Amino acid sequence: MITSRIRRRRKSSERVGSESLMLPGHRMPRIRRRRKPVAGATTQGLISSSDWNRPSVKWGVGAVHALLLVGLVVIGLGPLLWLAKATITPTQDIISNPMAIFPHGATWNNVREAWSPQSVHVGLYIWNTVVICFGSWLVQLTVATTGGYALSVLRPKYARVVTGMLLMTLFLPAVVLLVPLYIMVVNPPLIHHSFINSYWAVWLPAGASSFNVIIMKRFFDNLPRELFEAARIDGAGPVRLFFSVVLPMSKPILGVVSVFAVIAEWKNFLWPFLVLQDASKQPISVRLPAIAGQTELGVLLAAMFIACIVPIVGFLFFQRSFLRGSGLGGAIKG
Amino acid sequence: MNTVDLTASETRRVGVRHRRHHTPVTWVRGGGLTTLLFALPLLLIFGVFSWYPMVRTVIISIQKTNLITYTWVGLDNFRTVIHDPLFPIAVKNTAYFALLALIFGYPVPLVAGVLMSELRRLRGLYAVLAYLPVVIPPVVAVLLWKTFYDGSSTGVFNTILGWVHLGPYYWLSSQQMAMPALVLESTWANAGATVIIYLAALIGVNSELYEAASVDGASLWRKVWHITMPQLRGVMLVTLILQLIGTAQVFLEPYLFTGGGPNYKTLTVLLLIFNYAFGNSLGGDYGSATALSLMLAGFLAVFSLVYLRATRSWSTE
Amino acid sequence: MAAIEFQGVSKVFSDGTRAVDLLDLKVDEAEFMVLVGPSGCGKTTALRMVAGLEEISEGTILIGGDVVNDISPKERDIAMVFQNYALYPHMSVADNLGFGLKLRKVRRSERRQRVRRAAETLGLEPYLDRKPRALSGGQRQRVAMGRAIVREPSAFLMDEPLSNLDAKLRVQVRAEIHSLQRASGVTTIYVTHDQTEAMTMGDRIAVLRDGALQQVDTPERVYQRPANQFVAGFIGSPAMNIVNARLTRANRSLVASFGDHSLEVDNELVAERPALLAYEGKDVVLGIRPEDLEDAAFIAEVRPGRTLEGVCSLREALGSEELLHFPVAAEANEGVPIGPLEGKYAMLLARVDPQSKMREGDRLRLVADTKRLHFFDPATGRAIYGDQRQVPGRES
Repeated sequence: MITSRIRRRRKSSERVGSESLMLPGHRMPRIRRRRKPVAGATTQGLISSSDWNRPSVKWGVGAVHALLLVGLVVIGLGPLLWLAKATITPTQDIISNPMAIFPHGATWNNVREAWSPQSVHVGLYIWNTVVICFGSWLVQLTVATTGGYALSVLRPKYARVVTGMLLMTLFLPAVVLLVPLYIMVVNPPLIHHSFINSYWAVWLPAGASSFNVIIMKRFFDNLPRELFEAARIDGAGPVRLFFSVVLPMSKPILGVVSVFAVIAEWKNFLWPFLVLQDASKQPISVRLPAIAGQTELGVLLAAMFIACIVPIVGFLFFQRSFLRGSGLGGAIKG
Repeated sequence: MNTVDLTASETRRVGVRHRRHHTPVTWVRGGGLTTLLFALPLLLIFGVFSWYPMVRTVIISIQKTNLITYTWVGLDNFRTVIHDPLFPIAVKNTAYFALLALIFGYPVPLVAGVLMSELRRLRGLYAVLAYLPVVIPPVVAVLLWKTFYDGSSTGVFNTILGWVHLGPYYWLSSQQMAMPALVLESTWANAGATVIIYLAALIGVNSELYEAASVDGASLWRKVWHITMPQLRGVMLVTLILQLIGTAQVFLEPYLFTGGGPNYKTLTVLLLIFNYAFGNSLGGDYGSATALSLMLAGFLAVFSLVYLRATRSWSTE
Repeated sequence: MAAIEFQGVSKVFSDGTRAVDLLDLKVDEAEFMVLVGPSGCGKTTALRMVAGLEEISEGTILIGGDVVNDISPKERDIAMVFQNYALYPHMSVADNLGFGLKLRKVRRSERRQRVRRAAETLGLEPYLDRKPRALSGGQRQRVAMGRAIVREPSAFLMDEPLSNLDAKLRVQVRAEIHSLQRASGVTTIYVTHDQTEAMTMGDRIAVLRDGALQQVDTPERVYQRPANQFVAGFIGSPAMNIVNARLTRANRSLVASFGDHSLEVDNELVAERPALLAYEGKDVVLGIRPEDLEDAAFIAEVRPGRTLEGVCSLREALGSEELLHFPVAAEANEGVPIGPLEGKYAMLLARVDPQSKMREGDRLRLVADTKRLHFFDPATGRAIYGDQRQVPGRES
């Protein structure tokens, strides 16, 4: 049974004109190939290169390719494309003919309204969001790097306990902390001054992300200890070691944590909703639902689209960090 | 020679043994202070905003308070919650949401991930397309889909379905459709992240396994069943529990889509907690809110433990 | 340049393992001392204690006459070369070399000078602006050395610096390190598991096993007069053949017999090792180095009682020499693997002249240099000498 298959495969190789022995799954050197390699034709996956040569496989996979592409574009990109279209479509058309493309022409009205300080003033809220994300990012990075460094490199006696507590909080549903945190913001225990409407109420609690600390600590754990010893012998104390050796080597993980931190904060709704009651301080995620009822649909959609621009652009720019953080590493060729 | 030996070893036994004396000074010199300074941001932030609130939640759950006075009421709050007619409704709805999300939202990323891992050429593009909805702020996604779900015949979905002579449907104002509508949007917004996780796991599968299978004469489906699936098993179990835990805590969709209606059909546990604490009609009942959140946390913890134990033997690790 | 001394030094880990056990060792100024032994013997731990990277559980370490037990690595004025180089990946070669100087607040002009000098010595000038990842293994190793040189310390500590290099490079760099140390005259402690490195580089070598010092002496003396069975088997490549034998007296000479073979012990040898006489009629452990066995065809005058006969089971031709494996019926010692032959036997190795016509399957006739036999006590493993230099582990 198998020998006949090998014989069949050999035949196909002879057709292509190869001199080398065509073993199943053997990848032919490009130079000798006369035919252009089929998409994805290496043996690394489910489909061996000899499988690729069979027309049924090629067509089947081609169809799936097309299906997947169409599916992803329609489902993944579709709603966003619609949003983009709606942004420059007059509200009347959106409501009466949502799937048509500019039946009465496009308009910048929605965008103007959304941007205008008298009306929606989306720019202010985007700015607020930027400020909130920045502060949040700073706090998270500070806590994660210093904390991870202390736990991983300096390793005091209490490191084990602290790491254990961090792991426990990792599985804690955030809702459990909601009420006491809110009460703490309204009525801080020692300081008799409410922190409602202060950005600190958003920045500081954001730092309490055990996920950040744990991945930072893991990364530091994987740095070669010899390097630290060499630095010690060179005369570096713990502070020097942190700034001159550990941090510069941590650029990839800092990128990952930063990206996650900023995105998480940009998407955050409930907490800023609770503590930032002054409209002028709210981030865009909080503001949009608040004005949804009173705003013309087209304008609302324009504001929503503007709110998406930053995350989307940021994502496209920092694809690597994102996807690496989710584990894909160098597997993507972009 | 022997005598010299003995003397030498005697000296050693008596001899120079350095012991550390632990004083505050040696602690500082030994780097203890610097270490503490490095650990301080972590300890302060977590202490104030994570560990202390954890304790506080438990305490508030056994108190009745209006933020000015606190009275101890034992398990009263828990009893109140359990006897609240909205409680079983919320639990049922949350379970329903989780179930629907499991049926729709669990297989999709898996299939997509498997397909993407094979199609090497455009893989990067696929990954970006799949992940795009995840990057959109959830508020925007919900409001956008709220527009799509407009119940009139000129709503976006109704228009599309109209092309094949289906609908129009009420979507969010229909008691039967509301929850599935929420699940659909939630899947759209979140599946991408899971796709990437599967993709990463699939790429990590040793290609030699596939090559060996090819040599052994395995067909495509055989390979998927005997190599791909087992390798993915570990990841699949993890994403399953993560999805269940995540969907059990769904809040934004019910809050922004329907506010819990119609007729409480989309009221979830998180929404109920929110209403207890901050809601317009109930509001201010922090005791019930914390009690319910503790019950939820407790349930999830037990569930996770049972799940981990049950799946330990199944994982390939 | 400072002398380094271990006085009763031990290292006990928290799980109770004694990595180093009461080590007494003195490294003289400008000496190149090699610590050698199998993995886990404690040599690296001992080195790290000198560096200050491991705490000393018992005993004292002195550098330049000063007790350094509680002094931080920074202040001990030592430089270390790590097995995996430990180069700072985000810094250029120049910055890597100068980092230690920068931390010691050496002025920039002097720093640059010293870095340049070290780079010249090691041929690193063209790479000064490169990052470590753009360098080959050998170049990285040189940067690691350069980092140590540039500090001009009182002592160099090297932890298996050549183990990550390929064989050819190893030989080349070995010579470079050796001549560098000669030129600079800096006290050096060099740790390796490779006995060839130890033999070629050390002024003296210290053999360790399971944390205990077995012998410390010049390479020649460790080779010629190993203190115990372990040292004998560890030093010398290929390893010494070791078999159980019985010492008897026949005619007027001592004869060592094992299996079907017997070798007459040369009288000169007995004179050098009077304690051997006490073992007459008893079991001993006999050691013969492969290089002390020669094809009888090349020996002009073959004296009786000096030959071993057997069948060649494997022949390894290396061009410069030939190794012949042959089994003898004797008790294998120290876990020599038993092959398909029945009964107890030992596989011996002989290193013969490359022109030898012996082939696999041939009957061998080998002549042993019986002036160079080694004997060990079967119970303790100690070498049997019986003269002044009996105590192992002490300086001879």
